[in-house]
Formats: sequence, structure tokens, C-alpha cells
Amino acid sequence: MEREIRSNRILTLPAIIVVALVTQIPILLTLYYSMRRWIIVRPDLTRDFVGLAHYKELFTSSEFWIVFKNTLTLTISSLAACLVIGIALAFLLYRPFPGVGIARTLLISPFFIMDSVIGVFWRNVIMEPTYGLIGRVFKLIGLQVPEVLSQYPLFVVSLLVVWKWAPFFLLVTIAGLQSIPEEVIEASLIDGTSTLGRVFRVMLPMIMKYITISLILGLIFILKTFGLIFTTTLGGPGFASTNFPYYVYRTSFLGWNIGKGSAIAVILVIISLAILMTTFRLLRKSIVEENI
Amino acid sequence: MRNYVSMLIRIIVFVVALIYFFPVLWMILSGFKNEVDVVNPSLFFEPTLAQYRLIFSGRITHYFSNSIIITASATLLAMLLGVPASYGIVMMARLRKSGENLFFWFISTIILPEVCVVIPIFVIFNTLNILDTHLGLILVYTGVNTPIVIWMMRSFFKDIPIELIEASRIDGASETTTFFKIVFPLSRHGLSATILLLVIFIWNEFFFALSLTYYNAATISIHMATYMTQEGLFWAKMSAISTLAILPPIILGWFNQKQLIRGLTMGAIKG
Repeated sequence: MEREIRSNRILTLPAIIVVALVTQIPILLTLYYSMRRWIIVRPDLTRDFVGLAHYKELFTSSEFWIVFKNTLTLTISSLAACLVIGIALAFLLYRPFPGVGIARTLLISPFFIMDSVIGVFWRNVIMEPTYGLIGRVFKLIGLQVPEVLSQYPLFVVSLLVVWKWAPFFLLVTIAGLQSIPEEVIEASLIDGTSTLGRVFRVMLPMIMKYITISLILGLIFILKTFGLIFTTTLGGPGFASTNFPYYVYRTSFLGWNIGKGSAIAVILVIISLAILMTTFRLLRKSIVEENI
Repeated sequence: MRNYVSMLIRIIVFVVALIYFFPVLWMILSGFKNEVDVVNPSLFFEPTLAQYRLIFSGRITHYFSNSIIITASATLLAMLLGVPASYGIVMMARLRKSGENLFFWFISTIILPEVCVVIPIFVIFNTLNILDTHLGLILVYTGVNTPIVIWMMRSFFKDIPIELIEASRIDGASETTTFFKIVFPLSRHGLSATILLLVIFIWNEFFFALSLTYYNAATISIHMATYMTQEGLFWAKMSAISTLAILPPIILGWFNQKQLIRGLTMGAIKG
């Protein structure tokens, strides 16, 4: 048995080394950088150890709290919208009828599109005020054309996140609904349960595990939203649509302040770990139970 | 009455699906227009291949070939690292709890946002002189996608009855033979689902490509971002390139929906 464990451990070794090199060591270095003063465009400044100064600066700055609020708003509102849209559509689509395949295929397509294409296309062809689709439509009905990108930046980002991620919720919920045994639904039909009663009291409880999984994975990925911001609002105007990932990029790659950018990254690691800990048991339960 | 209701629901479903898909449809159509026609929101126009001719005669192919090279190499490498590791973890977990812990360590790396590691990687790559090279991006993509392979393949390996593996051992087959003759054929759906997911993820990846490449190794995903400013006025050309850029993942996704459900939930749900 010992020999078998050893031979299996060798199989995992290359993966451990590469993953540690690419993800774990950089996190430690990020922590280290976050305590130094290091601004690439200011080579005259020495890279002094500044302790927690960057963190203190962040926690007392108003922009940090704006970003904090944006991240929260973006993540929660997008998740809620994805959940509602995904589940509602799944109930309409899970049973076969002529053309259901086409409808489902159309609906899930946005999920496979790269963020940069979604961003530039919506930004230009749809939201551009003069020639864009929105501009044309508003002019046609004789209304003032809105500058959506500067007036409702966070809403625009959230809209695109939902457009892309609701299909994911849809796919997973359909899988859940199709896993419900036919007899259960027949039994509730015989009992004379109303359609709404069947949906809320019979079907939804049975697909809770699927909904949980899509919520956790949705949370993980939506928290990382970056490309959709970079290619639409650039986090602006001001900090109006900057979330944490974009804040790190902005500080370290546009402002070239490596120290401060690293400090924001470390805070994001802590936030992610906190989310991981709270959802971990749920995740672990659903993964382990399903597979054993 | 019931029939009318379900008929009405079906019509609503199709209308909703069409509205949802409309931006994509609009993009595909715009790619077949002239630049003059593209601002005119009409569904009726004379289709032209001018934009596609422009693309294939220009430098855009550079970005596409970068995307293909990087996606193929990183997918292959992540599979080569992840599949044996995943198998090792499953076999280990049958005997001892530490296998599970190792597995959850891998999962925890998926959850961390990319921005938390990019700064040191940028600094290290700069020192090693591998910024803006295929090698650099392939290395990073391999590292961040290997845990996804491990996560997904685990659920497929766990489905294989241990009796089959033990029987093969009793017959005197070596571990390698057992893996290739018994385990591999039984998990091929898992392998194809995993490859599919990696190709979609890596092809579409934006953040690392943006931070670690400029031109030489820039992927099509990064090139598209330039259309938000200087080239943003050439909507027809932009739409044509977009159509080509989204085609591979969309087609893979369309034809593998069932496998994708299991893949996208990382094997947590059997689609």
C-alpha cells in the first residue's frame, strides 16, 4: 500500500510543481511587493520597505471604498439577474418541443464569446450614441439619445456580465430539471398541485444542488470580471465602474505603482479566500457526494 | 385551452431567444457589409466578402496563428500534467485522506483571481526576457488550467469501478498498461469534455494575454481590444474579425452542450 501511494504521488508531482510555480509563489511575492515602495516610472525613489503603509493608504482613500462598493454591486446584482433569467428560461426550455434545440443553442451562444469581442461590439455597434443601434432607435422615437457608457457605466458592465453568464445558469438548471424523475412530476400532477405549486414546492427544491453549484461558480467567475470592463468603460468615468481586478490592473499597469497594486491584489486574495471558506463546505459537499 | 397556452409559451421562448441572440446575429451580418452600409441598420443589403478578403490579406492572421499555437500547446501541456495527477489523486484518495486534501489545494488555486498573481509573473518574465513570447503565455496558461483538468477528470476517474483496475493488476498488467488499456478508454468522454473546455477558456482568455504580451505573442482576444479606440470606426471589418474569433468556441460549444454541462460545473454535476 505504501508503495502504491508513493507511485501515485509521483504522478501528481509535475502538476504540483508547475501549479505552485505559476500560482503560489507569485502570491507570496505579491505579498512581499505590497510592503515595498515601488513605482516603476519613478526610478529615483528607492524600493524601501514601507510595512503596511499601502494598506493604510488604501483603507483611508475614498476610491478604495468606491471600488469595494462597485465590486459588491456588480457581483451581487449580476448574480441575482443571472439566477432569475437562467432559471426562468430553463423552466421554459427543459421539456422537448419542436425547435427547442435551436432556441437553446441561440440562448447559450453568448457564453462562448470572448470578453473583448462582447465589449467592443456592444460599445461601438450597439451603444455608440450617433450611429449605434441605441442611438438610431432613440432618434426614431424622438427621444434624447443617452450616453449610456458615461451615464450608467456600472449598469452597462453588469448587463454584459449577465448576457454572458445567464446562459451558464440556464445550462446547469436545465440539467437539473432533466434529472428529476418523471414519476415525481406525475405524482404531483395526480395530486392536483397547481403549476406554480409544482414549480416552487416540488421542482425547485429538487434542483437546489444544481442552483448552488451554478451560484458558487458564477460568483467565482463574476468576481474576476475584467475584460468586459477593459473593453467598454475602462473603469470610468472616474472610478464609477472599477472593480477590484480592474483596480489592480489600473494601479500597477497604468499607474505603474507596483507596491500599491500588490496591496490591492493581496486584499482581493483575502476576500476570495473568505468567499472560498464560506462556500467551501457547500462546494465540498456537492462535489464529494456526487462522485462517491 | 392548454394547447393555446403552450403554443403561446413556445412563441415567447423563440422571441426571447432571438432577442438574446440578436447582437451575435447583427455581428455576423455586419461582417458581410461594406463600411458604408454598416451604420445603416437594415437587414437587407448586398452581401460582400470584402471584409474577409481584407482580413486574410492583412496582419490579422498573425493574431489568429498566435491564438492557435498558444491554445493548442497550453491545452496539450495542461492535459499531460493534469490527467496523471488527477488519476494519482483518485487512486491515493481511495487509500488515504491526504489525496482529497491535495485535490482541494488544486481547487483553491482556481478560485484566486488572476490579478493576484500577475504582477510577480510580469516582473519575473521581464527579468527572464520572456515577456511577449509564446513560451511565457503557454507556461502561465498551463499553470492556471492544470487544476481545472484535475478537477474535471477526477469525476470521470471516480466513475471507473475499482474492480476493473484490480482485475487488471491481478492479471499481471503493469500500472502503465492498466492506465492505457482500462482507464483511458473508459474516460475518453471526460478527456474530450476537458479538452473542449480548455480550448474555449484559453482561446477566450484576456487578462494574462493583455498583461504579458504586446505584439509578437498577442492573441486575437487582445487584438480585438484595439477596436475600442483607433480602429473602432471600421465596424464592418471589426464585425468580420469578431465573427472569425468567436467561431471556434461557439461551434465547439454548440455541438457539445451535454458534455459541457458536466465540464462547466467541473464534474460536480453529471449532465
